[in-house]
Formats: sequence, C-alpha cells, structure tokens
Amino acid sequence: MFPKENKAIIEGLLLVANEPLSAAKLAEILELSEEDILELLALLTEHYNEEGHGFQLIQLAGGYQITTRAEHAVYIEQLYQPAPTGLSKASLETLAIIAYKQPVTKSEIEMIRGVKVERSLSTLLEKGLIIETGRKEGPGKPIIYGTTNDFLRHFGLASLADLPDLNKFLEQSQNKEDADIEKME
Amino acid sequence: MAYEIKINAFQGPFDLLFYLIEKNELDIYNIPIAEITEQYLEYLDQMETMDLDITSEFLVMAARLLAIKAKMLLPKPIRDFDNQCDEELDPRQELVNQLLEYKMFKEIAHYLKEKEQSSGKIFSRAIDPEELMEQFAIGKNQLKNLTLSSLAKAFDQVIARLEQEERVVKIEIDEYSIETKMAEITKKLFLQPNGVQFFQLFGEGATIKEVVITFLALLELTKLQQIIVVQINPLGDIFIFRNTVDGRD
Repeated sequence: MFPKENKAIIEGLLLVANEPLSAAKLAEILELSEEDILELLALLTEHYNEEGHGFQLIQLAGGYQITTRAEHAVYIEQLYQPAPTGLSKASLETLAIIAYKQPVTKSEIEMIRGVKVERSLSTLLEKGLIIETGRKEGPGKPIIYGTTNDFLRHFGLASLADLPDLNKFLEQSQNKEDADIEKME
Repeated sequence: MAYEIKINAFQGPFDLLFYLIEKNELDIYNIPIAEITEQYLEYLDQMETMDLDITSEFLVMAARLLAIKAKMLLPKPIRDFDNQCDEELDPRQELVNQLLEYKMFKEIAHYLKEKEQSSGKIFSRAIDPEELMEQFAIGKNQLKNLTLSSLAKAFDQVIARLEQEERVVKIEIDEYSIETKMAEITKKLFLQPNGVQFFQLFGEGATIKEVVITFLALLELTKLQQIIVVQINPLGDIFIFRNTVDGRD
C-alpha cells in the first residue's frame, strides 16, 4: 500500500524532533495527505505496542511524539535524572484556574483563590506553562493569561479538550460535601 | 477552653475557613455564621500572638464574616402581598458559592498533580538550546554575525515582498502596538523553542505598519536581552531564539 519507506521516514522525523509533530507538519514534509499520515501513525503505534517495544507513539500537545513507557521509568531515571519539576500547591491551583478559565486576568484568579497570585504567576510564567495572551478591554487594560503547549506536554495532555469536564469536578467536590454531611448524621 | 495551637500556615482566608468547617464538621450549605466568625477571629488572634503574618485578605474576610453575621441578625423585611420579590437572598450564599468554586479548583489542582506525576514517567529527547547554538558555531557574542545593515536589508526584503503583492485595501482598526507584538513574538518563541525565522513573524496579509512595529518589537526585545538574534550566512535567514543563556544580567 504505502512504500515501506514512508513509515520509516516518519519514524526518523519523530526520533529527531524534540517536540510533538503535528499530522499536518508530517504531511507537509512527506507530501502525503493527512489521512495517509494518520493511517501510518496508527500502524506505527500498533506495531510498537504489539512488538513490545520500549517506546510508544502518543498524542501530546496537538502532535505526535515517541516516548518511553511509564513502566520503565524506574530504569530510565537511573540514567537520566529528570529535574524535579513538582509545582507547589499554590501554583497548581492558579494553573488549574487558568487552564479552565482562560483567558483570565490576575484579579479574576485572585477572586477565586482568595489570595494574591503574583508569585504563582511568575513561577508559572518562568516555567513556560502559562503566557500573557494580551490585555482585556476595560479600565486598566489588565493582562490576560492562558496556558501554553508546554503546559500540555508537562501534564501529558493531547489538547485542552483532554481536560476533564468541569462538571465532573463539581460533582466530586459536592459529593465530598454530601459524604461529610452524611457522616455527621 | 483549650485551643489546639496548630502552626498552620494557611495560604489564605478560604483555606482557614475550610479548616474550620472541617474541624467543626459543619454543613457548608448551612454554616452557623456566628460560630464560624468567632472561631475565625480567635484564629487571627492566635496568628498574631505567634507572630504569623496576617495578610490583608484575612482581615477583609473577617470584615466580610462580620457583615454577613450582622445581616443575618437583622429582621427580615416585611413583604406586601403584591410585592413581587425573589427568593430571599441568603447573605451567606455568595461566600458559600465562592468556597465551593475554590474547592472545585483544589480538586482540579490535585488532578493536575497526578497527571504531572504520571507524565513524569515518560521521557522523550530534549534539545538543549545551548547545544543547538553551538551547532551553529555561535560564540558568546551572539550578535557577531549580525550587523545593523543585514537587519535593515532583511527588513527591506520584507517590504519589497509586500509591495509586490496585490492587496485589497481595507481600513481596519489598528490592533498593533509594540507591546502586543513583543508578547506575540515571545509567545511564538515559547511554542517554537527551536527558533523562529525572521520572515515567519510576518503573516501574508501583513501591512507595512505591522512590519515596522514587529521590527521595533524585535529591537526592543533584543535590548531587553530577552531574545537572541542569529544570522549564519550574510544576507541569509535570520533566526530568533528565546534568550535562556546565563549572563542575562
């Protein structure tokens, strides 16, 4: 069907790329249609999984990337100590708000958390997880923030649509409340 | 009354309220406002005694709780029969809604933390921008190969390209300012850590004004040392990178 070479070329591209490559980009380089690319990617994914390869082909941040498997983390970590990038609770909360409410201003975030968010914002900006996407109309023209592609990669998301529905969390926190109330009765 | 002297550094008033609600096993939908206000104020006293920093948000919340308490103590207004009134607004409602919304985001933060840990278990190759630059044989002097005239020549090329294209004349509101362009460029650089080409900064429908402002934004960013501009061949492509190399100050 396809010259075997196309699959190999995609493999090569994914190998040297240091960030996820979109199907469109691959289509451009190989001069194939996007559907063909998607088919080839599916074949590669299946192949890696079935043959038990140590790497996998996943969707991340709007593109495709070859990565190692989670099961082998304990070995990889011995070779290559990743910097502990654990975010603080405060930064995570600020990030959560930005992720779901973007575009959002600093004061809108502060309204929800009830504290000043200056420090979390600088941390998140520094780590490239959020970015200033412009200014909001109105008095003071406050800066508005949004998440970046690095955010998606850091948290292993293929796209923002991958974030679970807000309602799920609403129910979760309400259920917790109800459970607490039931405990009392 | 014996107080638990917990050295709890609460991030903010909401966290303190959640703590009190949990500790007293209160129903968040029906908070006994007098009780919680009293405990909240006692806690602030303790914080003061222990020399903990009570930020203004804590004080604002204290005032808010007192206001809610006062409202709840006031007699309810007498309504006429033909007076169309909405359901009585519970003075606690707004606070409760805020607490619930914040609680929801705490759950989301927890979810993100788990995602962070699980995705921390998969690895991919990471390119070091410094290594990349070394491949281009650029030393510490980032502007070595770039002169003002080559920048100006590139700029001329863009303008010339624009003038050749036919464009429908449309009078639009000016959306561009140097700051906006600077933010745009920075954003592009985050998304493309491998570098952005000078010509990629201009869209197809770029007006001359946009090109000029982009150019000025680039100069400003270079001055602020937030970007590195590199040209390998004279008259060749100019690449722009985010400046992550030490020695910024």
